Amino acid sequence: MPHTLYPPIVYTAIGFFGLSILLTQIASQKLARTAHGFGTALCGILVAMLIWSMQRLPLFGAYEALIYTTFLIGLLEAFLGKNGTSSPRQTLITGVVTTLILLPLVFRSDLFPRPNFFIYSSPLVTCFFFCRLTALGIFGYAGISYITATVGNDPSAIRHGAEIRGRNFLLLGSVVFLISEFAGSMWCYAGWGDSWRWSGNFFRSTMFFLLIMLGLHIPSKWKHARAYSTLIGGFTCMFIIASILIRQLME
Amino acid sequence: MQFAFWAILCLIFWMGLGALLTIKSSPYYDVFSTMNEQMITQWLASKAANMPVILGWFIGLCLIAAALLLNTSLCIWQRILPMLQAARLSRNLLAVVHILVILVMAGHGLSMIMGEKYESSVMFPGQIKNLGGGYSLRMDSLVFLDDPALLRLSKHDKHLQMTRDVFHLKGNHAILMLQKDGRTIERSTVGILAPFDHGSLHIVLKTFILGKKNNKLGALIIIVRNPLANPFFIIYALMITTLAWYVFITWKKPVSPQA
Repeated sequence: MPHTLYPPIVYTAIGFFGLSILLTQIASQKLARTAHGFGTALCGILVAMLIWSMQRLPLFGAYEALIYTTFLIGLLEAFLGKNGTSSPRQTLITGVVTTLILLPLVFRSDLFPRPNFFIYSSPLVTCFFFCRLTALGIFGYAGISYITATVGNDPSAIRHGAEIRGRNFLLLGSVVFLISEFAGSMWCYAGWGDSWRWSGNFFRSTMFFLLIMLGLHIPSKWKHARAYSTLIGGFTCMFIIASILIRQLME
Repeated sequence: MQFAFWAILCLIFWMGLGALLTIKSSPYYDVFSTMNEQMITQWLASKAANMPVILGWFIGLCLIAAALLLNTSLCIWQRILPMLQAARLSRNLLAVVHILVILVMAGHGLSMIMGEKYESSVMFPGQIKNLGGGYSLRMDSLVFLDDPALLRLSKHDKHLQMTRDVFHLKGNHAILMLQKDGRTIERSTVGILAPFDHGSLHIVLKTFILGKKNNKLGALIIIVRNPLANPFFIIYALMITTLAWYVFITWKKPVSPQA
């Protein structure tokens, strides 16, 4: 029964995210944020329904990953962007990003919540995927903040505030990402006898971590060091999200 | 810092190249499997010469990683260790994080050359595997509570059909006995993701197998000796904790545009 409700909830959430984009252009930011909040709440309802029907967190496969990540990004923007902290541009970009993340669910009718594969009941596996997707949500918020700081002609105070939020949440996302990598290493050690393997998964994860470090190691003597840092930070966040979610969609 | 930036950028591209070489449609996909089955020194001695592309990639990886490691070490010595004298917690934590990152990188490198990997093999109940040095491993018994037909499914079908209701992760296990000179020194239960450790010896049950000819139930057992495993995980955890602490104390508060 719950499965038949998933598509209309997804389409309605996408509708609200799209509405929030429109409202940033033709109405107030407050209305836009309210619309986005409704979309986020619907994603939250989906997450709760998935937990209830599957008796586990929705962390596995493209369907669950897209919904969980969108919910987290929306939740962070809803709570951290209130009281004028978030600019209209940030609300607009958040609407675009959350719409784009959920859009594959409209075109891919073959996507559905994963069956409860036995390995999902392992705490190490759950920790790996939970921290990985939570890091994605945090990177999403960081990336949106960085993009807000980089593009457009907002006053410098707004751009500086967005840059600081980007930096804070990039670092926080890194910590959560590393926890997932640690759980992954332990999973690999318990499952294959190695703490790491010569495999695409490890190479990609290392690449993601190094990308984060790159933005934090811009030589301060460079002329546009701050701009490079913001640009690389924003690119890194969006690249990691796109890489992980697209790979999920291709599996 | 400039060298660190370019070294990190090079390593990013090199890792990206590695990720491309390991995609399933790549002709080098199986090569990386052989690198995982044995110590890298054995792979270099036996198979690497026949795989010049992967050998070249591996050498490039070692050179770039070594350059980054050297640069970070020098940076720690010249710029970061003096931070420890500044009596500012954020600087101290940054210094410690860099030192721990070096140790984690070194741990990855050393694990390639220290320890031992035994050839993984399917073991059946009653079978004994000789480990050398008087040691042997005996599979005393194997318990499989579920339908053995599940083991014949393809990888794709296993993900769909081997749910937690039909496959008991904790209930299915093997009893292994580690013996020295014929005398049992330790007896342990191993299951999937529930390995058996004796000192630096690490024994893993990767999967259950149904023999093709005799329909006999066995298990694929992987045996490694890794003296660095526990220190590696401890240092890794310390690195994450220190970084988390650093993030917490350096959390910047942006001023609200309305203020």
